Amino acid sequence: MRVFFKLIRQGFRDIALHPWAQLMTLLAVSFITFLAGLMLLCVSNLDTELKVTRGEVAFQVYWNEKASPKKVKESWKTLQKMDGVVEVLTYTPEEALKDLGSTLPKGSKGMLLADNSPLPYTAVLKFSPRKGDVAEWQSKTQAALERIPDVKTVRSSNLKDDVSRAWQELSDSITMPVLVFLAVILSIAVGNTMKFSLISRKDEIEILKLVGAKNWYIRTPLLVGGALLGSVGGILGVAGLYTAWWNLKDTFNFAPLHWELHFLPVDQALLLIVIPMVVGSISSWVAVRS
Amino acid sequence: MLNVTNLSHNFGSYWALKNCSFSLKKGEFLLLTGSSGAGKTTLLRLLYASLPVMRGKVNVAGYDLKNLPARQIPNLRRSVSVVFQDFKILPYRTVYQNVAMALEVRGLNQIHIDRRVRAVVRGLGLEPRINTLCGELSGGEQQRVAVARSVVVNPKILLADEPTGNLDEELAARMMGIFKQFHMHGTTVVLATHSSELVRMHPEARQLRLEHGKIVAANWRGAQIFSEKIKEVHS
Ligand SMILES: Nc1ncnc2c1ncn2[C@@H]1O[C@H](COP(=O)(O)OP(=O)(O)O)[C@@H](O)[C@H]1O
Ligand SMILES: [Mg+2]
Repeated sequence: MRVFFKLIRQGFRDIALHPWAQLMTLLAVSFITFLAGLMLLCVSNLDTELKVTRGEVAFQVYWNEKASPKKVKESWKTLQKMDGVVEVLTYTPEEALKDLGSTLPKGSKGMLLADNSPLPYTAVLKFSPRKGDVAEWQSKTQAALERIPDVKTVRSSNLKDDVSRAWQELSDSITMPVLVFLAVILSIAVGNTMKFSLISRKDEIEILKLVGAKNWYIRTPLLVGGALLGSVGGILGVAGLYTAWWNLKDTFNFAPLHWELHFLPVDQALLLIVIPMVVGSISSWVAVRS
Repeated sequence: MLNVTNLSHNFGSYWALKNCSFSLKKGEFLLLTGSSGAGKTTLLRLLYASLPVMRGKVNVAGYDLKNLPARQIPNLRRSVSVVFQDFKILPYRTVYQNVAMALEVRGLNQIHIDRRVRAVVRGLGLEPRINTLCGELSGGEQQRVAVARSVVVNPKILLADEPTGNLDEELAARMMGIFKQFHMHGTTVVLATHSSELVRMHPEARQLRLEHGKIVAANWRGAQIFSEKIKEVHS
Protein backbone atom coordinates (compact mmCIF):
# COMPACT_ATOMS: atom_id res chain seq x y z
CA MET A 1 0.00 0.00 0.00
CA ARG A 2 2.84 2.33 0.96
CA VAL A 3 4.57 1.50 -2.29
CA PHE A 4 1.33 2.21 -4.10
CA PHE A 5 1.12 5.71 -2.63
CA LYS A 6 4.72 6.26 -3.53
CA LEU A 7 3.92 5.37 -7.14
CA ILE A 8 0.98 7.74 -7.13
CA ARG A 9 3.26 10.50 -5.89
CA GLN A 10 5.69 9.51 -8.60
CA GLY A 11 2.88 9.96 -11.12
CA PHE A 12 2.38 13.51 -9.90
CA ARG A 13 6.10 14.23 -9.96
CA ASP A 14 6.51 12.85 -13.49
CA ILE A 15 4.26 15.62 -14.76
CA ALA A 16 7.05 18.03 -13.88
CA LEU A 17 9.40 16.13 -16.22
CA HIS A 18 7.67 17.49 -19.32
CA PRO A 19 5.67 20.46 -18.12
CA TRP A 20 5.06 21.87 -21.61
CA ALA A 21 3.84 18.70 -23.24
CA GLN A 22 1.60 18.08 -20.26
CA LEU A 23 0.32 21.64 -20.26
CA MET A 24 -0.55 21.49 -23.95
CA THR A 25 -2.45 18.27 -23.47
CA LEU A 26 -4.17 19.69 -20.45
CA LEU A 27 -5.32 22.64 -22.53
CA ALA A 28 -6.43 20.33 -25.33
CA VAL A 29 -8.43 18.20 -22.89
CA SER A 30 -10.03 21.30 -21.35
CA PHE A 31 -10.88 22.72 -24.73
CA ILE A 32 -12.41 19.50 -26.01
CA THR A 33 -14.40 19.11 -22.82
CA PHE A 34 -15.52 22.72 -23.09
CA LEU A 35 -16.72 22.24 -26.66
CA ALA A 36 -18.55 19.03 -25.86
CA GLY A 37 -20.11 20.72 -22.84
CA LEU A 38 -21.16 23.70 -24.95
CA MET A 39 -22.88 21.35 -27.37
CA LEU A 40 -24.70 19.61 -24.55
CA LEU A 41 -25.62 22.97 -23.04
CA CYS A 42 -27.25 24.12 -26.28
CA VAL A 43 -29.11 20.86 -26.69
CA SER A 44 -30.30 20.91 -23.10
CA ASN A 45 -31.52 24.53 -23.27
CA LEU A 46 -33.27 24.19 -26.61
CA ASP A 47 -34.83 21.07 -25.25
CA THR A 48 -36.41 22.82 -22.30
CA GLU A 49 -37.39 25.84 -24.31
CA LEU A 50 -39.15 23.82 -26.98
CA LYS A 51 -41.01 21.79 -24.39
CA VAL A 52 -42.22 24.93 -22.64
CA THR A 53 -43.39 26.88 -25.66
CA ARG A 54 -44.88 23.99 -27.52
CA GLY A 55 -46.96 22.71 -24.65
CA GLU A 56 -47.35 19.07 -24.33
CA VAL A 57 -50.73 18.04 -22.94
CA ALA A 58 -54.13 19.57 -23.52
CA PHE A 59 -57.44 18.76 -21.79
CA GLN A 60 -60.87 19.39 -23.15
CA VAL A 61 -63.50 19.72 -20.47
CA TYR A 62 -67.23 19.40 -21.28
CA TRP A 63 -69.93 20.40 -18.82
CA ASN A 64 -73.47 19.03 -18.53
CA GLU A 65 -75.97 20.77 -20.79
CA LYS A 66 -78.01 21.65 -17.72
CA ALA A 67 -75.14 23.11 -15.71
CA SER A 68 -75.85 26.60 -14.41
CA PRO A 69 -73.90 29.25 -16.38
CA LYS A 70 -73.00 31.05 -13.18
CA LYS A 71 -71.38 28.05 -11.56
CA VAL A 72 -69.53 27.09 -14.71
CA LYS A 73 -68.09 30.57 -15.03
CA GLU A 74 -66.92 30.42 -11.41
CA SER A 75 -65.07 27.18 -11.99
CA TRP A 76 -63.44 28.69 -15.07
CA LYS A 77 -61.71 31.15 -12.75
CA THR A 78 -60.21 28.34 -10.70
CA LEU A 79 -58.92 26.67 -13.86
CA GLN A 80 -56.67 29.65 -14.49
CA LYS A 81 -54.94 29.02 -11.20
CA MET A 82 -54.07 25.38 -11.82
CA ASP A 83 -50.42 24.48 -11.50
CA GLY A 84 -48.47 24.49 -14.74
CA VAL A 85 -51.34 25.74 -16.85
CA VAL A 86 -50.17 27.65 -19.90
CA GLU A 87 -53.38 28.59 -21.63
CA VAL A 88 -57.10 28.33 -20.86
CA LEU A 89 -59.68 28.76 -23.58
CA THR A 90 -63.33 28.79 -22.57
CA TYR A 91 -66.43 28.55 -24.69
CA THR A 92 -70.03 29.25 -23.84
CA PRO A 93 -72.45 27.24 -25.97
CA GLU A 94 -72.94 30.27 -28.19
CA GLU A 95 -69.23 30.88 -28.61
CA ALA A 96 -68.69 27.22 -29.32
CA LEU A 97 -71.34 27.33 -31.97
CA LYS A 98 -69.82 30.40 -33.58
CA ASP A 99 -66.42 28.77 -33.47
CA LEU A 100 -67.82 25.61 -34.97
CA GLY A 101 -69.83 27.54 -37.53
CA SER A 102 -66.75 29.29 -38.82
CA THR A 103 -65.18 25.96 -39.61
CA LEU A 104 -68.22 24.49 -41.32
CA PRO A 105 -68.80 24.76 -45.05
CA LYS A 106 -71.21 27.45 -46.22
CA GLY A 107 -74.77 26.37 -46.54
CA SER A 108 -74.78 24.05 -43.60
CA LYS A 109 -75.00 27.07 -41.30
CA GLY A 110 -78.73 27.28 -41.48
CA MET A 111 -79.06 23.90 -39.87
CA LEU A 112 -77.80 25.26 -36.58
CA LEU A 113 -80.17 27.07 -34.29
CA ALA A 114 -78.53 30.25 -33.08
CA ASP A 115 -80.60 30.67 -29.94
CA ASN A 116 -80.70 27.12 -28.79
CA SER A 117 -77.22 25.79 -29.16
CA PRO A 118 -76.90 22.02 -28.70
CA LEU A 119 -73.34 22.44 -27.52
CA PRO A 120 -72.28 22.39 -23.83
CA TYR A 121 -70.00 24.75 -21.94
CA THR A 122 -66.42 23.84 -22.87
CA ALA A 123 -62.88 24.62 -21.74
CA VAL A 124 -59.56 23.78 -23.32
CA LEU A 125 -56.52 23.76 -21.02
CA LYS A 126 -52.94 23.53 -22.16
CA PHE A 127 -50.24 22.45 -19.74
CA SER A 128 -46.49 22.66 -20.01
CA PRO A 129 -44.94 19.27 -19.42
CA ARG A 130 -43.52 18.49 -16.06
CA LYS A 131 -40.52 16.39 -15.26
CA GLY A 132 -40.97 12.81 -14.21
CA ASP A 133 -43.87 10.59 -15.01
CA VAL A 134 -46.04 12.49 -17.48
CA ALA A 135 -48.59 9.69 -17.77
CA GLU A 136 -49.20 9.60 -14.05
CA TRP A 137 -49.47 13.38 -13.85
CA GLN A 138 -51.87 13.31 -16.78
CA SER A 139 -54.27 10.83 -15.22
CA LYS A 140 -54.20 12.70 -11.89
CA THR A 141 -54.96 15.99 -13.59
CA GLN A 142 -57.74 14.34 -15.55
CA ALA A 143 -59.26 12.99 -12.35
CA ALA A 144 -59.05 16.43 -10.72
CA LEU A 145 -60.86 18.03 -13.67
CA GLU A 146 -63.54 15.37 -13.55
CA ARG A 147 -64.23 16.23 -9.90
CA ILE A 148 -65.31 19.77 -10.84
CA PRO A 149 -69.10 20.00 -10.26
CA ASP A 150 -71.30 19.40 -13.31
CA VAL A 151 -68.40 18.30 -15.51
CA LYS A 152 -69.57 15.57 -17.83
CA THR A 153 -66.47 14.41 -19.68
CA VAL A 154 -62.77 15.25 -19.83
CA ARG A 155 -60.63 14.33 -22.76
CA SER A 156 -56.88 14.70 -22.93
CA SER A 157 -54.50 14.67 -25.83
CA ASN A 158 -50.80 15.10 -26.28
CA LEU A 159 -50.32 18.25 -28.21
CA LYS A 160 -46.67 17.86 -29.01
CA ASP A 161 -46.33 18.73 -32.63
CA ASP A 162 -44.10 17.11 -35.18
CA VAL A 163 -41.33 19.64 -34.81
CA SER A 164 -40.96 19.23 -31.12
CA ARG A 165 -41.40 15.49 -31.36
CA ALA A 166 -38.63 15.34 -33.94
CA TRP A 167 -36.49 17.63 -31.82
CA GLN A 168 -37.07 15.46 -28.80
CA GLU A 169 -35.84 12.45 -30.70
CA LEU A 170 -32.85 14.33 -32.01
CA SER A 171 -31.87 15.67 -28.62
CA ASP A 172 -32.27 12.24 -27.07
CA SER A 173 -30.04 10.72 -29.70
CA ILE A 174 -27.47 13.52 -29.73
CA THR A 175 -26.25 13.33 -26.14
CA MET A 176 -24.70 9.87 -26.42
CA PRO A 177 -22.78 10.53 -29.66
CA VAL A 178 -21.45 13.79 -28.22
CA LEU A 179 -20.13 11.96 -25.16
CA VAL A 180 -18.67 9.15 -27.27
CA PHE A 181 -17.06 11.69 -29.58
CA LEU A 182 -15.59 13.40 -26.53
CA ALA A 183 -14.17 10.10 -25.31
CA VAL A 184 -12.59 9.24 -28.67
CA ILE A 185 -10.92 12.63 -29.17
CA LEU A 186 -9.70 12.65 -25.61
CA SER A 187 -8.23 9.17 -25.86
CA ILE A 188 -6.23 10.25 -28.87
CA ALA A 189 -4.98 13.41 -27.17
CA VAL A 190 -4.11 11.87 -23.82
CA GLY A 191 -2.86 8.62 -25.34
CA ASN A 192 -0.37 10.48 -27.51
CA THR A 193 0.95 12.54 -24.65
CA MET A 194 1.37 9.43 -22.59
CA LYS A 195 3.21 7.77 -25.45
CA PHE A 196 5.43 10.82 -25.61
CA SER A 197 6.22 10.78 -21.91
CA LEU A 198 6.75 7.04 -22.25
CA ILE A 199 9.30 7.51 -24.99
CA SER A 200 11.16 10.08 -22.95
CA ARG A 201 11.07 7.71 -19.98
CA LYS A 202 12.18 4.77 -22.12
CA ASP A 203 15.56 4.55 -20.40
CA GLU A 204 14.04 4.62 -16.97
CA ILE A 205 11.49 1.97 -17.85
CA GLU A 206 14.15 -0.25 -19.38
CA ILE A 207 16.25 0.03 -16.24
CA LEU A 208 13.28 -0.57 -13.98
CA LYS A 209 12.59 -3.76 -15.88
CA LEU A 210 16.22 -4.83 -15.67
CA VAL A 211 16.30 -4.43 -11.90
CA GLY A 212 13.17 -6.53 -11.51
CA ALA A 213 10.23 -4.10 -11.47
CA LYS A 214 6.87 -5.68 -12.12
CA ASN A 215 4.57 -4.27 -14.77
CA TRP A 216 2.16 -2.60 -12.36
CA TYR A 217 5.06 -0.81 -10.73
CA ILE A 218 5.96 0.73 -14.06
CA ARG A 219 2.40 1.43 -15.13
CA THR A 220 0.85 2.92 -12.01
CA PRO A 221 2.60 6.32 -12.25
CA LEU A 222 1.57 6.61 -15.91
CA LEU A 223 -1.96 5.61 -15.08
CA VAL A 224 -2.10 8.24 -12.37
CA GLY A 225 -0.65 10.79 -14.77
CA GLY A 226 -3.29 9.97 -17.40
CA ALA A 227 -6.14 10.08 -14.91
CA LEU A 228 -4.83 13.34 -13.51
CA LEU A 229 -4.51 14.95 -16.95
CA GLY A 230 -8.02 13.81 -17.80
CA SER A 231 -9.73 14.91 -14.63
CA VAL A 232 -7.95 18.24 -14.25
CA GLY A 233 -8.59 18.94 -17.94
CA GLY A 234 -12.23 17.98 -17.47
CA ILE A 235 -12.60 20.19 -14.42
CA LEU A 236 -11.02 23.15 -16.22
CA GLY A 237 -13.28 22.55 -19.22
CA VAL A 238 -16.41 22.46 -17.08
CA ALA A 239 -15.23 25.51 -15.13
CA GLY A 240 -14.74 27.35 -18.41
CA LEU A 241 -18.18 26.28 -19.52
CA TYR A 242 -19.66 27.51 -16.24
CA THR A 243 -17.96 30.89 -16.65
CA ALA A 244 -19.23 31.17 -20.21
CA TRP A 245 -22.72 30.24 -19.10
CA TRP A 246 -22.61 32.73 -16.22
CA ASN A 247 -21.80 35.53 -18.64
CA LEU A 248 -24.32 34.51 -21.27
CA LYS A 249 -27.26 33.22 -19.32
CA ASP A 250 -29.24 36.47 -19.54
CA THR A 251 -28.50 37.10 -23.22
CA PHE A 252 -32.01 36.08 -24.27
CA ASN A 253 -33.67 37.09 -21.05
CA PHE A 254 -35.71 40.06 -22.26
CA ALA A 255 -39.38 40.58 -23.07
CA PRO A 256 -41.09 38.90 -24.77
CA LEU A 257 -38.65 35.99 -24.92
CA HIS A 258 -37.82 35.64 -21.20
CA TRP A 259 -35.46 32.87 -22.04
CA GLU A 260 -32.98 32.34 -19.21
CA LEU A 261 -30.32 29.79 -20.08
CA HIS A 262 -29.80 27.09 -17.49
CA PHE A 263 -26.56 25.21 -16.80
CA LEU A 264 -26.04 21.54 -17.58
CA PRO A 265 -27.74 19.01 -15.31
CA VAL A 266 -25.36 17.82 -12.59
CA ASP A 267 -25.07 14.30 -14.01
CA GLN A 268 -23.97 15.58 -17.40
CA ALA A 269 -21.47 17.99 -15.84
CA LEU A 270 -20.03 15.12 -13.80
CA LEU A 271 -19.79 12.96 -16.91
CA LEU A 272 -17.73 15.69 -18.54
CA ILE A 273 -15.18 15.22 -15.75
CA VAL A 274 -15.43 11.47 -15.29
CA ILE A 275 -15.15 10.59 -18.97
CA PRO A 276 -11.82 12.41 -19.51
CA MET A 277 -10.51 10.89 -16.31
CA VAL A 278 -11.42 7.33 -17.27
CA VAL A 279 -10.33 7.81 -20.86
CA GLY A 280 -7.06 9.35 -19.65
CA SER A 281 -6.15 6.37 -17.52
CA ILE A 282 -7.27 3.81 -20.10
CA SER A 283 -5.37 5.43 -22.92
CA SER A 284 -2.21 5.70 -20.88
CA TRP A 285 -2.59 2.02 -20.02
CA VAL A 286 -2.90 1.22 -23.72
CA ALA A 287 0.10 3.43 -24.47
CA VAL A 288 2.25 1.36 -22.09
CA ARG A 289 1.12 -1.91 -23.60
CA SER A 290 2.03 -1.13 -27.16
CA MET B 1 22.64 -22.37 -9.50
CA LEU B 2 23.61 -21.79 -13.12
CA ASN B 3 23.43 -24.41 -15.82
CA VAL B 4 24.14 -23.87 -19.50
CA THR B 5 23.84 -26.79 -21.93
CA ASN B 6 24.61 -26.65 -25.64
CA LEU B 7 23.66 -22.99 -25.82
CA SER B 8 23.81 -21.32 -29.24
CA HIS B 9 22.57 -17.93 -30.29
CA ASN B 10 22.41 -16.20 -33.64
CA PHE B 11 21.75 -12.66 -34.81
CA GLY B 12 20.37 -13.30 -38.25
CA SER B 13 22.87 -15.52 -39.97
CA TYR B 14 25.69 -14.67 -37.57
CA TRP B 15 26.25 -17.15 -34.76
CA ALA B 16 27.43 -15.15 -31.76
CA LEU B 17 27.45 -18.21 -29.49
CA LYS B 18 28.08 -21.77 -30.56
CA ASN B 19 27.24 -24.79 -28.48
CA CYS B 20 28.40 -23.54 -25.08
CA SER B 21 28.08 -25.68 -21.96
CA PHE B 22 29.17 -25.05 -18.38
CA SER B 23 27.72 -24.97 -14.92
CA LEU B 24 28.36 -23.08 -11.71
CA LYS B 25 27.45 -23.99 -8.17
CA LYS B 26 26.34 -21.56 -5.52
CA GLY B 27 29.11 -19.20 -4.51
CA GLU B 28 31.45 -19.87 -7.39
CA PHE B 29 33.38 -17.13 -9.17
CA LEU B 30 33.80 -17.20 -12.92
CA LEU B 31 35.93 -14.99 -15.09
CA LEU B 32 34.56 -14.95 -18.62
CA THR B 33 37.33 -13.83 -20.93
CA GLY B 34 37.74 -13.25 -24.62
CA SER B 35 38.56 -10.46 -26.97
CA SER B 36 36.00 -7.90 -27.98
CA GLY B 37 33.24 -9.44 -30.09
CA ALA B 38 33.81 -12.93 -28.73
CA GLY B 39 30.24 -13.20 -27.41
CA LYS B 40 30.61 -12.40 -23.71
CA THR B 41 27.83 -9.83 -23.58
CA THR B 42 25.56 -12.09 -25.60
CA LEU B 43 26.10 -14.94 -23.14
CA LEU B 44 25.35 -12.68 -20.17
CA ARG B 45 22.22 -11.27 -21.82
CA LEU B 46 20.92 -14.78 -22.29
CA LEU B 47 21.47 -15.41 -18.59
CA TYR B 48 19.22 -12.54 -17.46
CA ALA B 49 16.53 -13.08 -20.09
CA SER B 50 17.34 -10.01 -22.09
CA LEU B 51 17.66 -12.30 -25.09
CA PRO B 52 15.42 -15.34 -25.58
CA VAL B 53 16.97 -18.80 -25.41
CA MET B 54 16.44 -20.45 -28.79
CA ARG B 55 18.97 -23.29 -28.93
CA GLY B 56 20.08 -25.26 -25.93
CA LYS B 57 19.11 -25.06 -22.28
CA VAL B 58 19.71 -22.47 -19.61
CA ASN B 59 18.77 -22.74 -15.97
CA VAL B 60 19.46 -19.80 -13.69
CA ALA B 61 18.61 -19.76 -9.98
CA GLY B 62 15.98 -22.42 -10.59
CA TYR B 63 14.35 -20.69 -13.57
CA ASP B 64 14.22 -22.56 -16.86
CA LEU B 65 14.90 -19.67 -19.22
CA LYS B 66 13.81 -21.50 -22.33
CA ASN B 67 10.22 -21.75 -21.12
CA LEU B 68 10.09 -18.71 -18.86
CA PRO B 69 6.74 -16.88 -18.98
CA ALA B 70 7.12 -13.10 -19.31
CA ARG B 71 5.58 -12.43 -15.92
CA GLN B 72 8.33 -14.49 -14.26
CA ILE B 73 11.10 -12.31 -15.67
CA PRO B 74 10.89 -9.73 -12.83
CA ASN B 75 11.31 -12.56 -10.33
CA LEU B 76 14.35 -13.91 -12.14
CA ARG B 77 15.88 -10.43 -12.16
CA ARG B 78 15.45 -10.13 -8.44
CA SER B 79 17.77 -13.11 -8.07
CA VAL B 80 20.17 -12.02 -10.78
CA SER B 81 21.82 -8.60 -10.61
CA VAL B 82 23.69 -7.19 -13.56
CA VAL B 83 26.42 -4.61 -13.96
CA PHE B 84 25.97 -3.46 -17.55
CA GLN B 85 28.77 -2.65 -19.89
CA ASP B 86 27.07 0.66 -20.66
CA PHE B 87 26.06 1.16 -16.99
CA LYS B 88 22.39 1.91 -17.66
CA ILE B 89 22.12 4.53 -14.97
CA LEU B 90 19.92 7.63 -15.18
CA PRO B 91 21.93 10.84 -15.70
CA TYR B 92 19.22 13.12 -14.29
CA ARG B 93 18.95 11.20 -11.03
CA THR B 94 21.39 11.39 -8.14
CA VAL B 95 23.76 8.62 -7.11
CA TYR B 96 21.49 7.87 -4.18
CA GLN B 97 18.36 7.67 -6.35
CA ASN B 98 20.01 5.41 -8.91
CA VAL B 99 21.21 2.98 -6.29
CA ALA B 100 17.97 3.07 -4.28
CA MET B 101 15.93 2.23 -7.40
CA ALA B 102 16.84 -1.45 -7.24
CA LEU B 103 15.55 -1.70 -3.67
CA GLU B 104 12.45 0.44 -4.27
CA VAL B 105 11.07 -1.85 -6.95
CA ARG B 106 11.15 -4.61 -4.35
CA GLY B 107 8.91 -2.57 -2.08
CA LEU B 108 11.32 -2.42 0.87
CA ASN B 109 10.78 0.14 3.56
CA GLN B 110 12.53 3.48 3.38
CA ILE B 111 14.67 3.08 6.50
CA HIS B 112 16.05 -0.23 5.26
CA ILE B 113 16.68 1.21 1.82
CA ASP B 114 18.47 4.20 3.26
CA ARG B 115 20.77 2.11 5.43
CA ARG B 116 21.74 -0.28 2.64
CA VAL B 117 22.25 2.40 0.01
CA ARG B 118 24.55 4.42 2.27
CA ALA B 119 26.57 1.36 3.25
CA VAL B 120 27.17 0.28 -0.35
CA VAL B 121 27.89 3.80 -1.57
CA ARG B 122 30.46 4.21 1.20
CA GLY B 123 32.04 0.85 0.34
CA LEU B 124 32.57 2.02 -3.24
CA GLY B 125 34.06 5.36 -2.24
CA LEU B 126 31.15 7.36 -3.68
CA GLU B 127 30.01 8.90 -0.43
CA PRO B 128 31.10 12.47 -1.25
CA ARG B 129 29.10 12.26 -4.49
CA ILE B 130 25.95 10.70 -3.06
CA ASN B 131 23.69 13.65 -3.94
CA THR B 132 25.37 14.46 -7.25
CA LEU B 133 23.46 13.90 -10.49
CA CYS B 134 24.96 10.91 -12.25
CA GLY B 135 25.28 12.85 -15.49
CA GLU B 136 27.94 14.98 -13.80
CA LEU B 137 30.10 12.03 -12.78
CA SER B 138 33.18 10.71 -14.55
CA GLY B 139 33.01 7.39 -16.40
CA GLY B 140 34.71 5.56 -13.56
CA GLU B 141 32.33 7.02 -11.01
CA GLN B 142 29.32 6.08 -13.13
CA GLN B 143 30.62 2.56 -13.36
CA ARG B 144 30.83 2.39 -9.60
CA VAL B 145 27.23 3.59 -9.35
CA ALA B 146 26.24 0.74 -11.66
CA VAL B 147 28.10 -1.70 -9.44
CA ALA B 148 26.56 -0.22 -6.31
CA ARG B 149 23.05 -0.64 -7.73
CA SER B 150 23.66 -4.28 -8.56
CA VAL B 151 25.21 -5.33 -5.26
CA VAL B 152 22.88 -3.32 -3.02
CA VAL B 153 20.16 -5.96 -3.35
CA ASN B 154 22.38 -8.80 -2.16
CA PRO B 155 21.75 -10.93 -5.24
CA LYS B 156 22.08 -14.69 -5.48
CA ILE B 157 23.88 -14.27 -8.78
CA LEU B 158 25.87 -11.28 -9.94
CA LEU B 159 26.65 -10.81 -13.62
CA ALA B 160 29.16 -8.10 -14.44
CA ASP B 161 30.01 -7.02 -17.97
CA GLU B 162 33.42 -5.34 -18.10
CA PRO B 163 32.93 -3.73 -14.68
CA THR B 164 36.52 -2.56 -14.46
CA GLY B 165 36.79 -1.31 -18.01
CA ASN B 166 36.88 2.38 -17.14
CA LEU B 167 38.79 2.17 -13.88
CA ASP B 168 42.43 2.74 -13.08
CA GLU B 169 44.35 -0.09 -11.47
CA GLU B 170 43.72 0.95 -7.91
CA LEU B 171 39.96 1.34 -8.37
CA ALA B 172 39.80 -1.88 -10.36
CA ALA B 173 41.45 -3.68 -7.49
CA ARG B 174 39.01 -2.09 -5.08
CA MET B 175 36.07 -3.12 -7.27
CA MET B 176 37.38 -6.68 -7.40
CA GLY B 177 37.62 -6.54 -3.63
CA ILE B 178 33.91 -5.71 -3.47
CA PHE B 179 32.97 -8.57 -5.80
CA LYS B 180 35.16 -10.88 -3.80
CA GLN B 181 33.45 -9.80 -0.61
CA PHE B 182 30.01 -10.65 -2.04
CA HIS B 183 31.38 -13.86 -3.41
CA MET B 184 32.62 -14.77 0.08
CA HIS B 185 29.07 -14.28 1.36
CA GLY B 186 27.77 -16.84 -1.09
CA THR B 187 26.94 -14.82 -4.20
CA THR B 188 27.68 -16.56 -7.47
CA VAL B 189 29.66 -14.16 -9.65
CA VAL B 190 30.18 -14.15 -13.41
CA LEU B 191 32.54 -11.43 -14.53
CA ALA B 192 33.11 -10.80 -18.21
CA THR B 193 36.34 -9.06 -19.19
CA HIS B 194 38.67 -8.69 -22.13
CA SER B 195 41.52 -7.72 -19.83
CA SER B 196 44.14 -10.40 -19.40
CA GLU B 197 45.46 -8.29 -16.54
CA LEU B 198 42.46 -9.24 -14.43
CA VAL B 199 43.00 -12.91 -15.20
CA ARG B 200 46.61 -12.68 -14.21
CA MET B 201 45.66 -10.97 -10.96
CA HIS B 202 43.09 -13.62 -10.06
CA PRO B 203 44.49 -16.95 -11.14
CA GLU B 204 42.43 -18.56 -8.42
CA ALA B 205 39.09 -17.78 -10.12
CA ARG B 206 37.44 -20.13 -12.54
CA GLN B 207 37.89 -19.16 -16.13
CA LEU B 208 36.15 -19.64 -19.43
CA ARG B 209 37.68 -18.30 -22.57
CA LEU B 210 35.39 -17.44 -25.49
CA GLU B 211 36.53 -16.98 -29.05
CA HIS B 212 34.12 -16.35 -31.90
CA GLY B 213 31.29 -17.67 -29.77
CA LYS B 214 33.00 -20.88 -28.76
CA ILE B 215 34.44 -21.91 -25.40
CA VAL B 216 38.05 -22.52 -26.29
CA ALA B 217 39.56 -22.89 -22.86
CA ALA B 218 38.44 -23.58 -19.33
CA ASN B 219 40.25 -23.30 -16.04
CA TRP B 220 38.05 -25.29 -13.73
CA ARG B 221 38.69 -25.58 -10.03
CA GLY B 222 37.29 -26.53 -6.66
CA ALA B 223 35.23 -24.49 -4.24
CA GLN B 224 37.98 -22.46 -2.52
CA ILE B 225 38.48 -20.42 -5.60
CA PHE B 226 40.36 -17.46 -4.22
CA SER B 227 42.70 -19.51 -2.06
CA GLU B 228 43.81 -21.79 -4.84
CA LYS B 229 47.10 -21.20 -6.53
CA ILE B 230 47.35 -23.97 -9.07
CA LYS B 231 46.59 -23.16 -12.66
CA GLU B 232 45.08 -25.81 -14.77
CA VAL B 233 43.70 -25.33 -18.23
CA HIS B 234 41.95 -27.84 -20.36
CA SER B 235 39.81 -27.46 -23.46
N1 LIG C 1 21.86 -7.14 -31.17
C1 LIG C 1 22.78 -7.61 -32.04
N2 LIG C 1 22.51 -7.71 -33.34
C2 LIG C 1 23.41 -8.20 -34.22
N3 LIG C 1 24.63 -8.62 -33.87
C3 LIG C 1 24.99 -8.56 -32.59
C4 LIG C 1 24.08 -8.04 -31.59
N4 LIG C 1 24.68 -8.12 -30.39
C5 LIG C 1 25.91 -8.61 -30.61
N5 LIG C 1 26.10 -8.89 -31.92
C6 LIG C 1 27.33 -9.48 -32.52
O1 LIG C 1 27.65 -10.65 -31.81
C7 LIG C 1 29.03 -10.72 -31.61
C8 LIG C 1 29.33 -10.86 -30.12
O2 LIG C 1 29.03 -9.62 -29.49
P1 LIG C 1 29.16 -9.42 -27.94
O3 LIG C 1 28.47 -10.52 -27.25
O4 LIG C 1 28.73 -8.05 -27.61
O5 LIG C 1 30.73 -9.53 -27.73
P2 LIG C 1 31.64 -9.09 -26.50
O6 LIG C 1 30.73 -8.66 -25.39
O7 LIG C 1 32.43 -10.31 -26.15
O8 LIG C 1 32.51 -7.99 -26.98
C9 LIG C 1 29.64 -9.49 -32.23
O9 LIG C 1 30.19 -9.82 -33.49
C10 LIG C 1 28.49 -8.54 -32.38
O10 LIG C 1 28.65 -7.75 -33.52
MG1 LIG D 1 30.61 -6.90 -24.45
